[in-house]
Amino acid sequence: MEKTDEQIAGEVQAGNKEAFAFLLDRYESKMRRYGKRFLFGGDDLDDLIQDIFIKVYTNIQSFDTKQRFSPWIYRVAHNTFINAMKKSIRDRLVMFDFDTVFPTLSTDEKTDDLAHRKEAKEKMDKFLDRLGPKYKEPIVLFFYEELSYQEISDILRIPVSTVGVRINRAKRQLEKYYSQEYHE
Amino acid sequence: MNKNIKYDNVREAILEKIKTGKEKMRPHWFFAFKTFGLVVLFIISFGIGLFVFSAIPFLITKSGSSMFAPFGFVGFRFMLLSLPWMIIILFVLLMFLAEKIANRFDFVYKRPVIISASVLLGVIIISGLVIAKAELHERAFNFAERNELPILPMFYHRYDPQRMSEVYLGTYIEAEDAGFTIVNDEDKLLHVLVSDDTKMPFGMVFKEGDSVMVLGDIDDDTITAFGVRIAGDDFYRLNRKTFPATSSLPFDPRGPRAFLKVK
Repeated sequence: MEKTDEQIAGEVQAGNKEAFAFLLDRYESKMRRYGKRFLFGGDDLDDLIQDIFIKVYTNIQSFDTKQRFSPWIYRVAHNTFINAMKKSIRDRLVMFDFDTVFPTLSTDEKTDDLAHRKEAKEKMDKFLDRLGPKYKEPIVLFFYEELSYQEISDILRIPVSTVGVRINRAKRQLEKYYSQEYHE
Repeated sequence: MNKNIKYDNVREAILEKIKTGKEKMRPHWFFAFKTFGLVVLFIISFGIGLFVFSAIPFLITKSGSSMFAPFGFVGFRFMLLSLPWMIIILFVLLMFLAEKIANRFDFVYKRPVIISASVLLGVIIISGLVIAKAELHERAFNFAERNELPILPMFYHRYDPQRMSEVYLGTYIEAEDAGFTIVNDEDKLLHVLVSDDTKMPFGMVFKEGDSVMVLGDIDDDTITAFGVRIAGDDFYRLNRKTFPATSSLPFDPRGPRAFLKVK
């Protein structure tokens, strides 16, 4: 039986450096895909990918093997990408977000099942870059990386309800772009 | 093909750095210590925030902020100027810091900020009011004054009413033709000129030994008053050093009038 990410991470924590290659193999393409969609191009993705995995390795002792590895590595990637974007003048990031202040009602993630995700992805591809980072990132994580609201909440460190609100707003925005483009 | 070579290079570069020991794993204790540090920082910012918040009612009484209100618009200006703004700003910053630290823990960030901030603020307000009610600051102030401790008196004296120009405190001596005389904490006699324009929200029925607050412009030893009122007992008690009636005699907690009666 194939080892889980958490088991491999546990082995790395125990000092098995070679085991890290397995994590690298499993997540390199995911991180690359996440970066490509989330970042606005121009950033040196190879350097950022290196940064992410080096951080994962140096900080792996802070990972709790009872938790899922996937949200943890995405959190590391999120921080690395955000820092890269902060350095870039053109991407001004909002430090304070009112969406996280009040409790909000959002649609349940179950309504966005896999079939919806696939269909939505096709519509999204073209207009994704028009969204700001605040809305683009949860969309990428949910539709492309296929993570749950709960996991996205842990990666972005925002309430689960806020994840839902952002995804819904982003979807509405994308639908607007779509209908404008195709005069629906 | 080139793309694959590039990916492989990244992979190999990462593994090489790890293998050669160029990049080392941080030990587990490093993260435990970091979490411990965050908890300690939270407790410190929360504790100082609590201390600072509970000091606000005390400082408002001590600075005389609450006594300016009856003077109307002029009094409102003085009230705003006398409020312990630095302390209030410090409190807001400490709460912001505490909330930021707490937000690193999942049981906090998973809830809307309004909930975590309300809980934090609620705990601070309730505990702060309990501390204020228990007169902890008054005791700490008296203790610090008696034992000549550093820092604490600086904190408490920062908002003394005398720091404001146009605000004069003294003990009522006697009436004069155009007003009355007071003696300040430097044992200096000051003549207070009163006119029809002078606001006297509680009238001018002073007795010898009353502590008096005068708002006005001073020229040598004469103050042209635009506001005069008797100072409250709490205010007197907290600023007793500024009242000469007690400067060389033991403190009488009942206020200056009581002190003079005993005398």
